[in-house]
Parts: sequence; C-alpha cells; structure tokens
Amino acid sequence: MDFRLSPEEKLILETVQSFVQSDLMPLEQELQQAELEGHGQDFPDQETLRRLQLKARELGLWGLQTPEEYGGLALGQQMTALITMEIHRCLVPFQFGGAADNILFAGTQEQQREYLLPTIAGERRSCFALTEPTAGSDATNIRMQAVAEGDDFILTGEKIFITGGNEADFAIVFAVTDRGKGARGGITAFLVDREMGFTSRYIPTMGSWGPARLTFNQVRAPRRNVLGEVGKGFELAMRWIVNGRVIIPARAVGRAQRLLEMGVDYARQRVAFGHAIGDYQAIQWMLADSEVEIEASRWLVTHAAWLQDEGIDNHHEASIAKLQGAQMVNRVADRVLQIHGGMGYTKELPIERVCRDVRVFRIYEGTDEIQKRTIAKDLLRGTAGLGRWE
Amino acid sequence: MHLVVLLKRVLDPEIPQTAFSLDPERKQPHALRHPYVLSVFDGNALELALRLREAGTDVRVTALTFGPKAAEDVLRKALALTVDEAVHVLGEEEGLTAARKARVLAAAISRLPSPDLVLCGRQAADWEAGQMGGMLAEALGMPCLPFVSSLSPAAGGFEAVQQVESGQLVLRLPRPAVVTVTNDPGNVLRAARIKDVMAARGRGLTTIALQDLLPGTQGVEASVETLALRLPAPQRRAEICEGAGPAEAARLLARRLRELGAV
Repeated sequence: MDFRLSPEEKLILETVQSFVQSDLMPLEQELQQAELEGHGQDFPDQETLRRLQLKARELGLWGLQTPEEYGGLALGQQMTALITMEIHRCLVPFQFGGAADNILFAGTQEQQREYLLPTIAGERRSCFALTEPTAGSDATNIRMQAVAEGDDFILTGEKIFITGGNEADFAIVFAVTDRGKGARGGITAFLVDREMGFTSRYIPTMGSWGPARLTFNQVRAPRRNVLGEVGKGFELAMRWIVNGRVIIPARAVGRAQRLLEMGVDYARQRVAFGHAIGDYQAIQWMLADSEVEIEASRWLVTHAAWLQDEGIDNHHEASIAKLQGAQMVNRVADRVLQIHGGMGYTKELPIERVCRDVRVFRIYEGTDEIQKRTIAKDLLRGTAGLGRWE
Repeated sequence: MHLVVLLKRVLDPEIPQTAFSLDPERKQPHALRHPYVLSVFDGNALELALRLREAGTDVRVTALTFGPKAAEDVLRKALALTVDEAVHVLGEEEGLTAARKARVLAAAISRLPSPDLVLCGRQAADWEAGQMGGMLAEALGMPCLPFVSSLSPAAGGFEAVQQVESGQLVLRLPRPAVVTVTNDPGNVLRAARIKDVMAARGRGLTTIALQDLLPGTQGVEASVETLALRLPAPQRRAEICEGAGPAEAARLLARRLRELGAV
C-alpha cells in the first residue's frame, strides 16, 4: 500500500497551490470587507469569477473532470478531490471553469451542442433541480408532473433549494412522468430553458449558499429535451448526487485545514495569564481533536474517490466520507471560533462566516441522517465493506 | 543556442523554525518528514532560461542536477516546465566541497553539446554557500557574472542586469559564460501548466552515474568532515522605539542601533 502521490500529482497540486496563493488568497481581504459591508454573499461577482477562471485556464486548470475531447483534463475523482481540498483552503468561493454537470454528458448530440458545450465554455449556466418543498431527502417522492401532450411535455410544480437556480439559464429538471412506477421508471429528466417559462426566486440563507425556488406553471418542454430516456431520470439524479458526496467532504477538509491553521497560529500568539494559550491543555485538546478528525476525513475522501476511479461502487464509502466530513468541519469551525474567543465571534475575522457557511454541508446533497440510513442499510444487508481489498 | 541550468534539491527552507532540528549522529538536519523543494534561486535561473528560449529561436534548455535518486524530483519539475532535456548525475554529494561538486558538474556539462550559457542560483537554500557559480566557471574556463536578475540575447552574447548594492548594472556578457541568478519580481519561477505536467509523464531523464562520469571518483571523494553541528541559541529580545512621530521614532531607532553597535 503506497500512500505517496506520483511526481505528476505533486506537480499538479503545486500548480493549484500557486494559483490559490497568487490569485485567490489576495481576495480574502476584499471578501472580508464585503462581508463587513453586508454584501459578502455576492463576492466574488460573476465578472471577477470569470476573470479568475480564465487566469486558471492559462495554467491548464479548466474542466477538471471534463473529458479531453471536450477540452477538459479528464482528471479522476481522487485528483479532483485533492485539488478541491487545496482550493477550499482559501475562503474565497471559487470553482474552475470548463465544467458541466456530469449527467449532461448523457445528452444526445443535439443536446450536447445546445446545452453541454455552451456550459463547458461558460456561455450558459445550468442548475440541477430535484428537491421540492415536500420531497427533499425523500427524492423518490417528488411530485412535479410532466404530462405528455403531442411532441411536448407540460411541466407543473415547484423546485426548492436549487443551487445556482436564480442565475441559471436552463435547468435539469426531474419530474414524474408515470406516477404508478414512481422512482422505478416513472421519473424523467428534462432540459428546460428559462425562456420556456419557469421563474425563480432567491432564497436568503444563513450562509453564502444562495439557492433558489423555481416555479413551473404549465411550462412546455419539447420531447427532444428529455435527458436520457423517459422514466430513467432517477438513475441520472443518483449519478449526479453520488459525485457530490465525495466532493463536498473534500471541500470540508480544505476549509477545516485552513481553520485549524488559523487556530494554531492564534494559540501560539495569544497570551493569557502569562502564557501562550497553546500552552494550555484545554486549547491543545481542541487542536488535537481537530487534527485527528481532519486526517480521518482526508483519508475517507481519498479512499472513496479512489474506489470511484477504479470503477468500484463507492456509495457506501462516499456516504461515510460525506457524513464524517460534514460533521467534522462544523466541529472544527466551532472549536476554532472558541479558541479565538470574542474575536472569533466578530465579523473582523472570517471564522463566524465559515461557521454559518459550513452548516449546510450537513444538509445538502444528502443530510447526515440520509447518509446514516445508507450506511446502516448496507450493514444490515451485509453489503458494507464487501470487496474492501479488491 | 544551448542553455544549461543547474538545479538543486534542498530541504524546504519554509518549514517552521520550530520544526527544524538536527540529527546529532549524522550531523545533518532531520529530514524524514520534511518536504524537499527546488532551491529558490535555481528556480529563478530556470525561469530566465525559459524566457531566453521564448525570446529566441532554436534555443534548447538542459536542466542538470547532481545528487541521490530522490533529486530526480527537481528534474521532473523542470520537464513539466518544458525544458528540452534533463540530466541527472546520480551520486552522493554529502561531504563534497563546492570545488569538488563543481568538478562533477563541469564533467557532466562537458558531455553535453557545448553550452552558450550556464545558469545557476546565486546560492543554494540549504547551506547558502554561494560558491558554485564561480567555481564552476573556473572549472569550465568561462567568465562568471554573479547576481544577475534578468537576461536578454545580444550580439555575440547576452545583455545582463546585475543587482549590486548601489542599484543595477546593465552589462554585456560574451558567450559562453556562467551566470548566478538572484531573485527579482520579474524572474519568479512560473507554475507548470497541467497539460505540460501530463505531457512530461512519459519523458525520460538522462542518468549518468558518478562512477561513470569520473571513474574511480578521483578528486571527488568526500573531503570534508563535519565535526559538530549546532543550532544557534534563539534569543528573544524586543524593543519598541516609540516617538511622537515617524521622524522622532527613526531618530530614536538610529541612536539605539548605534548604541548596540549594529551600525
């Protein structure tokens, strides 16, 4: 068992670190200022984000997982997870350009021309619309209807908590086409342009995640806009979700790592009762607990990602990584805030914002409870850990 | 035109001071878990070589290192930065004086197509001796220009900007020559582009064993023995020169520095 990175992997991470250091880190001050002025949620604006993405592209950091024939790097999930950890050490929200939802690659040639390629090029923006007001974790229970009418489907219903939904100019929408079959053949994915008639409304949250509510009132989508096959939408949705279950904890590791560094720095510098507070066991335990949990998460994520690259079903390990990572980053954020005392609670430092931002890690793309349900079901079925050393 | 850049793998000088310790047995820094990196001034030298190649036509860049197997890392990095060739003199450099290392590197360079320019960092980030450039120039029979921060091609050689205490000198340099490179905002080593990293994956290194380069290792055997190696005892003393304004603070600071014999 060799835990070392290859020379190429190390060099790729060096390039990512160089980009983070020279282009992203200098923006942290601006972000903090924006936060103090009450508009941190809008930072960076779309123009700045695009400029950063193009700068990253000069280094070849473009379309990390996008296949090479589409101009991407076709990196595996493990390398993507490691890069994600590095990027999220910086507190400025950023994602590389040249990416598209993995399931858009399942589209027809015409759909790829119309939706996938412009998304990769950054000319169009998509959103993934599955969750509904009455069906979040229980995604099999969605109610949005898609009724066939001639060569069209008529979509009626509401989607909620849709990431990027207010900015997207098309949505990947999941709707019921056969209520009798439910998730087993009764849900279909559609590509729906905003011009077809859906509306969106921003949902304010406690953090910087700004999702939207989408309303579909008799929206007419042509049959050629069915993504994949009629009735096979739920499988596509699951493919999208499992991907996120590895990447979200990778983000958690990056964030937590950065917070811990801040905690260690402060513990070295802050003097109380004549000693640096890092000399006190109470602070040491918080640092040690955080380090242990971050390391555990790092390896859980790396292993789950490796399984995916090997083509091995990783839903069990991805759930473990997501659960542990999401809980870990919240605990680390809370401890680091505590180490900073009153300063940690102020908006002078970014810690309180990170605390608010990472809370959603335990909710979106499968709540803690859903991950536990998956893990427990695998245990009870006897499938957990099967082929672990294959 | 052929440019040869010397690269050295060193213990990361950015590791925290508190993490740095010495192995009393080996009389070397403890290095088990510490990362190694390309010596920073060598990175500046590599950047200048790449820029010269971009500025001209038919320019080839060869990266050269001397050290154990692990030193290969710096050559892999150079290949990812698209150098044309990477040469590794495989051997143990511990205990060799700078003069003897210069002999090894000169012998390796003599096996390559004649260089028009040899570039190296002004000093390595481990021992900071700063001797290699001059000694190598002597061994190669070339002139040496130290503390160069930028280079451009010129008739019969190069135009070089040399950093000196009082400012900068712009000098004409004939070829062939050796330059030692200092850091400057204009010669920070670029990051490797991801596609170049991937393209470099399949590229090979030329490895020359030290024994083959200088049979019998005559003249390059270890000649220095470290008798003792100690860390300087850290002293923490801090004073703040407060004044009514910047001018008074500066006056107080200057007086204090004189009292301490620092200036």
